[in-house]
This record gives sequence, structure tokens and C-alpha cells, in this order.
Amino acid sequence: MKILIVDDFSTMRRIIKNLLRDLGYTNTQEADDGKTALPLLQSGGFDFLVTDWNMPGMTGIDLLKAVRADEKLRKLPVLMVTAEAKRDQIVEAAQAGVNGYVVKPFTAAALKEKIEKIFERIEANAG
Amino acid sequence: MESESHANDTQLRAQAEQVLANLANGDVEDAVEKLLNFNDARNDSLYQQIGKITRGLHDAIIHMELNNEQLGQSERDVQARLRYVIDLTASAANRTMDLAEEAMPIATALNTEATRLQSDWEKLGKRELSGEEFRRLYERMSEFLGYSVTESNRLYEHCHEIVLAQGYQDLSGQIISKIMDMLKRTEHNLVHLLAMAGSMHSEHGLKHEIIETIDAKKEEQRSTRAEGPLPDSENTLKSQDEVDDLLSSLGF
Repeated sequence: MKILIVDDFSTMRRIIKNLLRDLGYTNTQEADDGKTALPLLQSGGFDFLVTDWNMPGMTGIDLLKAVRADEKLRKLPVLMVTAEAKRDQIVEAAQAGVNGYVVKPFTAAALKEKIEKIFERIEANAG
Repeated sequence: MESESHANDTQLRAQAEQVLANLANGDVEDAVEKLLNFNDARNDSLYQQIGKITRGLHDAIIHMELNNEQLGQSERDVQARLRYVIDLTASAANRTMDLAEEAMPIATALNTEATRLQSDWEKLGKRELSGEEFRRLYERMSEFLGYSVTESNRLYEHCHEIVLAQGYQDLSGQIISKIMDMLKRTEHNLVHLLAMAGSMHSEHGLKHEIIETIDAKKEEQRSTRAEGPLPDSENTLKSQDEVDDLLSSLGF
């Protein structure tokens, strides 16, 4: 399970990396915005994307849309971890095909629950 | 704007010649009326400049996003954002210290009991313990191992929580970047304003310096534009539960 963590704040990437490691996912890579993340994703091998919304360059919502528009990436599960908590934004993310939405500040339990739910669904679909 | 001021100059010159012609003809009344018109034109130009400066100031205030009543959104309030940063950093600092203060006695207790057991364990190695003492040591050791398992877990959890508490850096960083952005735009507007005021001083007041005012609405205004954390905003959901409810209502 290879995971890409995208956030412009290195402290937040570190926190998410830490939480993922705690959940047993140790194979992670990082990018600081959508622009750097997209080529990494396109180069292949990622099974899961965790992204922030508000980033300079290319935002998380634009990254999500780019992923869904990419023939090879469109099925990649995407979890949004963001401080953006407006109703319209959550609706937009849902419509763009996000798999989970966690608002900052979040608890370890909330993140764990969302990630496990996403993986359960992937496994159910695969099986 | 060049051509406009040029046209004004030409017009002015033509009118001045007429005044001279009127005076030469002894037509004082006409000459005075024309002079009054000059004055009116100058006043009009001044009013226009003042109008532009007022609008510029208004734009600057809107960019500063301090004008809550007008926008009707407390989410745009710089003060509320900064207060949120203070609260966020204070609660993160307190949370981190609480966790560290809770963790330290756990480490101390483990250390104390391990140190005590160590000396008896050495006695055991030197065969200095009686049968009764050995049985007691065995029990204490079992107890300590169980205790170590739960307490080291607690220590791990505390460290984990400390890591999580550092999320404030991202959230407060987003808010501060946003405010720096606002200040930059406001400064830009104020500099324009100064330029306008300066041009008013230096000119005789008939030249129409057209200074570009910055369009407050130029920036993308879609409702889902990334804004960073918005404390106390009406449209903002307050908790993960509310987000989950919204998502499940959308069929998630």
C-alpha cells in the first residue's frame, strides 16, 4: 500500500505520516501541492491519496478533479484532510468524487475511521 | 489619459483667448462669467479626485476585509481570525504540556519499580534470596510486566497525541498567510491612494489624472474558493459529525 500525502505545510504532512504509520501504513511519499503531486501520481504505483484543499499552485480540489479526469488514475481513492469546512465546498468535493472528507483539526480516531472505511469499501468492490 | 489632459489644455487655452478677447472688447461681464467657469471646472476636477480617493479607501477597507457590516460575514473579520490563532496556539501548547505532564510520572513510576526489581534480580543471580523472597520477587515481576505493557502503551498514546496537537501550525499558518495577503493588497491600494492625493497637490486641478483603482471584485469569487480556517462562520460546519451528516445526505 503506497500512499501520497499532499499538503503545503510540512508539519501537517509529518502528522499525517505519523498517523498512517501508526495504522500500519509505512510506505508514504509527500508532495507540497497539486502541481507536484500530479506527476508523481501519474508516474504510477500509488494506491491512495491523502490531500489538503488550500494549497498554492494547484489546490486539492483541482488535484482531485485532475485525478478523476485521468484515465489511469480515476479510480484512485482520495481522502481530503482540510480546514475548508463550508457546506458548498464539501458538496463540491463529493460531486468531484472524493472518497472521504476529514476536517482539521481532526482526531486520530476520526482519521483512522475514514481511512479504514475507504479501504473496506475498496476491498468489498474488489471482492 | 494623455489625450484627455491634452484636450483639456487646448480647451483651456481657447477659453483664455476668449476671455482676453472679451476684455479687449470691453465685455467684462462675459469675461467674468468665463473666469467663474474656470473655477467651476477646477472644483469639478477636485471633487472627482476626492471621489476617487474615497473609492480607493473604500476598496482598501474591503480588501482589508474589516468591514463586516457591509459584507455581513464575520468570517471575514481579521480580528476573529487572529483571535482564533491565539486560541489555537494556546490550546495546542496547553494540550502538549498536559500530555507531557501526564507522561512524566508514568515514566518515573516505571523507572522506580524497575530500579527496585533490578536490585532484587541481582540478589537472585547471586543466590542471595530465600524461597519466600523468591516467590515474592516472582509475583512482583509478573505484576511489573503487566504494568509495563499497559503503561508503555499509555506513554505511546501520549506521544501520539502530542504529535497530533502540532496540527495548529498548519491551521494558524493558513490564517496568517491569508492575513498577510490581505495586508499586501491593502498596502497596494493605499500606495495608489497616496499617488492620487499627490497628483492632486501637484496639479492645478484641471488635469484629470486617471489612476487605476484596483477592482475589489477582480479576484475570483467562487463560493468554494479555498479560504483556510474560518472561525464562527455561518456556512462553516462545526464538527466532523456535521461533515459526515452532510456527506451521508449526499449518498456517501
